Amino acid sequence: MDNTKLLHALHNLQEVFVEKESELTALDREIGDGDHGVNMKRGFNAVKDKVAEGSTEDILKQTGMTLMSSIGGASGPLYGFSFVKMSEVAKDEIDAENLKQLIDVFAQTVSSKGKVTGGEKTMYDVISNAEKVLEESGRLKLEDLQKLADDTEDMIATKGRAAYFKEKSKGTIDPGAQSAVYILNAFDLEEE
Amino acid sequence: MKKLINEREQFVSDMLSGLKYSDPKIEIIEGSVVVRKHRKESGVALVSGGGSGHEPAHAGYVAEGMLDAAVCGEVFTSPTPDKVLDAIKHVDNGDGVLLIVKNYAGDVMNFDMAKEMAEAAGHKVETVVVSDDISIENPEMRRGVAGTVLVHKYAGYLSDKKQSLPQIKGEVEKMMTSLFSIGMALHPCMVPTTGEYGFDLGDDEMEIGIGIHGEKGIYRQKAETVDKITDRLLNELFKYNDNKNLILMINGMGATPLSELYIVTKNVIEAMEDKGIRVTKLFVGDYMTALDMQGFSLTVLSHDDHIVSALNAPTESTHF
Repeated sequence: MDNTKLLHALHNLQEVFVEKESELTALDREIGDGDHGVNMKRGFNAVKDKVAEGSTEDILKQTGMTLMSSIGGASGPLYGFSFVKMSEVAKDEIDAENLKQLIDVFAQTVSSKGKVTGGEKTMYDVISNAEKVLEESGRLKLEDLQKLADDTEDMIATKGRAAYFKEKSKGTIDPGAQSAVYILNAFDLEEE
Repeated sequence: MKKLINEREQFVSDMLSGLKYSDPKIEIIEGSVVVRKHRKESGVALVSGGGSGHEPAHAGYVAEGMLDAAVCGEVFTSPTPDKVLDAIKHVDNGDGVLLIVKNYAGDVMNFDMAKEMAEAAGHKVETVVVSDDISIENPEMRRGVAGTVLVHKYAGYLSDKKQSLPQIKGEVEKMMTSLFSIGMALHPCMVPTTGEYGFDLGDDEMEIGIGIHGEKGIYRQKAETVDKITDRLLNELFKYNDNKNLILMINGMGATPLSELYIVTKNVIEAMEDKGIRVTKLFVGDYMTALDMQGFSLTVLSHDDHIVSALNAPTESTHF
């Protein structure tokens, strides 16, 4: 994946989040405050508007800064800072090996900024397991990533607003896990 | 959805434009940061903020005697670090800046990042995190709700008394050890940016332990008469604060008629009197709302002469 393809994939997330706004809102209404869809849409609208051509590193960094200053909430700094951190390890041409590094950095950043580990019903459960998906299939296919988000359905939240509901958070996919599926899928090497 | 809005994306900016007309002593910088028109020349500057939808919090408390800046995020969404940084840069007069943050993951993260950036640029910045909502058992996870407004006022007074940044932080943290709140809703709020209710509640149900973002409460059950509801909430509060002299705030959630808030007040005060508790300072009104939610929250704080003088001290905020 070169810089042009990466920019295209990130710009394309704008359409994805417009389409998925109500899905994310519905999940967030169950175990959060119902605004995750709107926030992600606003973030990637800004990415489409502001992130212009550049090196792979530039594009990731610009995307991070844009997300940080437009999403808000907890997802803003988590996604924003992760893209900035990923820009530091990205190669001009992202191959499978480099993608693995990017996912590693993504997971580490979310873990340290969000003070989160696995099984807490958050976006981290998708991001930290995406590496396995990549190893098994060499891809970041939507249906494989979706399984990781689906796994959060039965978890009991201990981080984020969903944690206020304790056992009652069971039965709903974590909205952050769901948005992480779409973001990671943008890095799928075979995807146009 | 029926709402008095134009484009839903313009909700916050339209609201802030209106606020500016109604309060000639503020101005809006960088699109969403409300500051005093006349900057304080000395004394610790106070910056708070959070998602919008809690009006008059926080922008309504930007006034002499209270805040120096309020950073207004999107509806129920923490503001971003760049805006918090803009606020810090604008208000810092060299005596340092205190960030008053409500304990939500997003708010804490965004204000923390802004603090790091501001410190790198040479500003002295400290943070106090308000977490007064006892409907969350785990103290580390407790949300910041209506008690935050009392923190704004107390810190504003201390700053006017020219206390230093570490002194104010210390005093406020001491005060917060006896500051507890709990809320309830009869009707959820309609979130104008999504066109959805924050949660669904049957006509005959109520939700106990709601936060101020339209998030669901801790448990729900059939609605009761107000005396039973106030007893329910007071019993929770007394587990955390059994002081016999209390400062009390009865806060409307946005769409509760003042008449009903007064009925709540009657029941709360009488129940407290029965237990031999004296209310030394009482606040009744909409201080920290959740859009058009119907319901109320109770906040108690142990009496302290110094704190009561601070709360009684003049402020130019028309909302306190």
